[in-house]
This record gives sequence, structure tokens and C-alpha cells, in this order.
Amino acid sequence: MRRVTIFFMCCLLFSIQAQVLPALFHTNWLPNAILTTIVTITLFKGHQTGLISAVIGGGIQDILISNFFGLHIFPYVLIIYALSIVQHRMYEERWYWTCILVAIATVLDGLIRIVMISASGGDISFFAYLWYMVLPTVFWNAFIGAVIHNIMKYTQEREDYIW
Amino acid sequence: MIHSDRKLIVFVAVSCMILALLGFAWKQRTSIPFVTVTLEELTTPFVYGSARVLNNITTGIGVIDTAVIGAFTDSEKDNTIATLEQKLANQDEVVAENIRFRQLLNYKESHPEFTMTVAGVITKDYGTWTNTFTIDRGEVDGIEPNMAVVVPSGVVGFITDVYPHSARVQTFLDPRSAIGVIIQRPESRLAGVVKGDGNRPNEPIMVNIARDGDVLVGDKLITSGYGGIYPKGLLVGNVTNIENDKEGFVKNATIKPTVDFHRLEEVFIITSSTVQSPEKAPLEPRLVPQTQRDQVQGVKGAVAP
Repeated sequence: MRRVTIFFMCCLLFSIQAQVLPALFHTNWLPNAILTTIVTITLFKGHQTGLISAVIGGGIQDILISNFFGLHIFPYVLIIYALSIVQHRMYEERWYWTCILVAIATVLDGLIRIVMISASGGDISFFAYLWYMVLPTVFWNAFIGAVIHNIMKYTQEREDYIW
Repeated sequence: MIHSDRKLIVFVAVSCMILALLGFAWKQRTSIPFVTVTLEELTTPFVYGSARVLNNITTGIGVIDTAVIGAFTDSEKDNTIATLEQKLANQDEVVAENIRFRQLLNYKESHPEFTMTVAGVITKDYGTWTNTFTIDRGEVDGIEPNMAVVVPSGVVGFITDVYPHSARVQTFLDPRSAIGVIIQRPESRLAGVVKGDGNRPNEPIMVNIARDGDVLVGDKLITSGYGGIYPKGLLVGNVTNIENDKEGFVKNATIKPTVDFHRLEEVFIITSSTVQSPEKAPLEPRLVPQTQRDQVQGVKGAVAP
């Protein structure tokens, strides 16, 4: 039952990223609900679960939404390993820590992507890309992070209660 | 950060696999065909259904919004007005949809030289680097790669990947896209190339214009027909800014597309066209002698006159 729930949550997340957010945000940039979810999962469940979710989430995002394979999966995997430094210091009550870490992960994701695109020969301008495409998403990713944090905390409390 | 040798080995192995897949995927247009096609087949029905549900939810939210506003008024006259406003909101949505469909129909009828198929947009990708979206028409509907995608207001992009029941469209805002254009103004007719800019996706650039090239702010750009994908004469955008390149030998023009890419709901795919492509000048390959030995012995592979 739990696996079925996780599967449907993944489908919902994919739908939010590919359909709901583009319908809401008529801008050149778009909040990254998948990255936010992966970071929050890592903070709550550990870096092993986070790595699995990064590979699956990034792979799905690369294959089904984007068509530049590696643009999401590679940065997500690197960010999860960087997050494993702070994961053991995480307290579930501190939702603002989740927001801060999601914001940092968003900027890191942008920087890694800049390096990848430059390495593949793309004509990318560091400051222009950061200013127009990365920084506007920081607030919204942090906001989504707060929402997902509360959802994860609620499900965690229910699991603790059962046992 | 990495606490044991086993985790280090796993990390290195996963990174190597990902890098290998990266190298494989970047060599060809379709990411990983044997994975992408299967996943697209599995997800297209779900994505199509959720797109339709989302459209209805958006309409319903507008109706409920008007109803909630009406619920807070207490006088009978205000309630009547609120009810009428609610009906007006419903009608506005229907009228807007009607106008959109009529524009599509008028566009199709006014271009008998094109055979077009209409398709709905089901997923969108933008905000990182690429600028693509998926439509709900695929191989079974006669869609093939490199078909042009247009709307009444102008060019959108072209088909890059085709799956059995869906297809991916790469817009000309994508940094990997380049579209041949000419300036519509009769005194100019300057030809050039418009490329997407990943740093500012909504401002593609007409690149490498000669320094004395006749281009002015406000000029309208249409497709030139070169390249074989887009028929000649389709609207692309308007010039908003012109500036010299860093070296100063050429200039670049910033373009404002005529299409609003953030509000695309239906598009046309040009499946065939009777518009002839511009004739290409015949070019015969000719090897030029580069060294003294070439001049004496003849260039290897040179065709005898």
C-alpha cells in the first residue's frame, strides 16, 4: 500500500512540475518542485533514500519533461551528497532550516548546471543566467520546501505514532 | 561526507554510469531511445487526462471565484448582479475558447497551401535551459520529425522526437534552435538566422548581421524557407534592439517573438506544404592544391576535368 502511495505521489509530483507550475507561472523561469522534494526527502529520510529519489526524480525529469539528458540528474546526485553533511543535524521542527537548505540547493543546482552547459559548448553567460533564471526561483522553491516539510513531518509523526 | 569505502565505490559507480549515459545521450537528439519511448508510451495517457482535468479546474476556479465574491454581498440587487457576473464569467470563458478555436480554423482556411493537424499541449519544459513541450499527437497521427509547428500568431518550433501517441516540440527559443529569417520590409529583405538565448529565453537573437546590414528596430521577421523545416513567409517576431558584437564586425538584433509561448494551448503541425523551398545554388566540391607536391602530383581525390 505504501509503495502504491509513493508511486501515485511521484505521478502527482510529475504532473505538478510539467503541467500545474507552467500554467501558474507565465515567466521564463519555473520553480523546481522535484528538486525541493528530493532535498526534503534527504533531510527527513537520510542520504541513501535521497540518492535513490535524486536518480529517479532527475531521470524522470530529464527523460519525460526535458530532452537534455543529464541536466537534472547529475546536479541532483551531487547536491544529495553535499547535503549528507548536514542531514544528521536536522530537527523536524525547524521548517526554516528546510527553506534555507532548499534555497542553497537551488543556487548550487544552478551553478552545477552552468558548468555542465559551458562544458557541453552552450553559450551561457554566468551572471545573466544566475540573475534571470536561478535567483527568481529561490523564493518559490523555499516556499514549496516549507509546504513539503510540513507534509513530511505530518507523515513522520503518523508513522511514529503507529509504532 | 563519504564515510566508508563501500559508499565511495557506490558513488563512483553511479557517477560513472550517469556520465556514460550523458555521453551517449548527448551524441543523439533522442535522449535514450529505448528508455524514452517506453516511458512516453506509459505516461502519455495519464498526462493527456491530467491536462484536460487541469483545464476544467482552471475554468471551475474562475467560476467559483466569482461565486464566492457574490456570496459576500447581502442585498438582493447585489446578489442578482453577482449571479449575472457569474454567468458572464462562464460565457466569457466559452467565448474566449470559441475565439481561440475560430482563430485556429481561420488560420487553417487562410493557408490552403499547408496541410495542418491541430494538437493540444500536454506538458511543458522551460526554466532550466531547454525550451520544449509535448503535444498529444504522435506517429499514429502521421507526425514525423522536423515538421514545423505554428499558431496563428507565428512560428512556434519544430518536431524533434515522435512517439506513438505524442511528440516533443522544440521551440525556436531553445538555445539549440536556429531558424532562417528574412526582414519583411521590401527595401531590406536581409536574410539571417535567429537563435535562442538560454540566458534570456524570451529574447531570441538574430545573429551575425553584417555591420552595414539594413535592419531597423521595429522590422518584422518572417521565415526564409532555407533549412527545409519552416515554409517561407511565416511570422517569427519583431526587432526590438540592435547592438554591435564585442569585436564590432557584426551586429546582433534582439527579437520579440509574435507568439506568447507561456499561453500555448493548441498548436498546428504542418504535415505537408505546397510552398516551394528557395532554390539552392549548385555547388560542386573542388579540392584546391595546398602544397607544392599537390601542384606537381595533383591533389589526392581530385576529379579530372
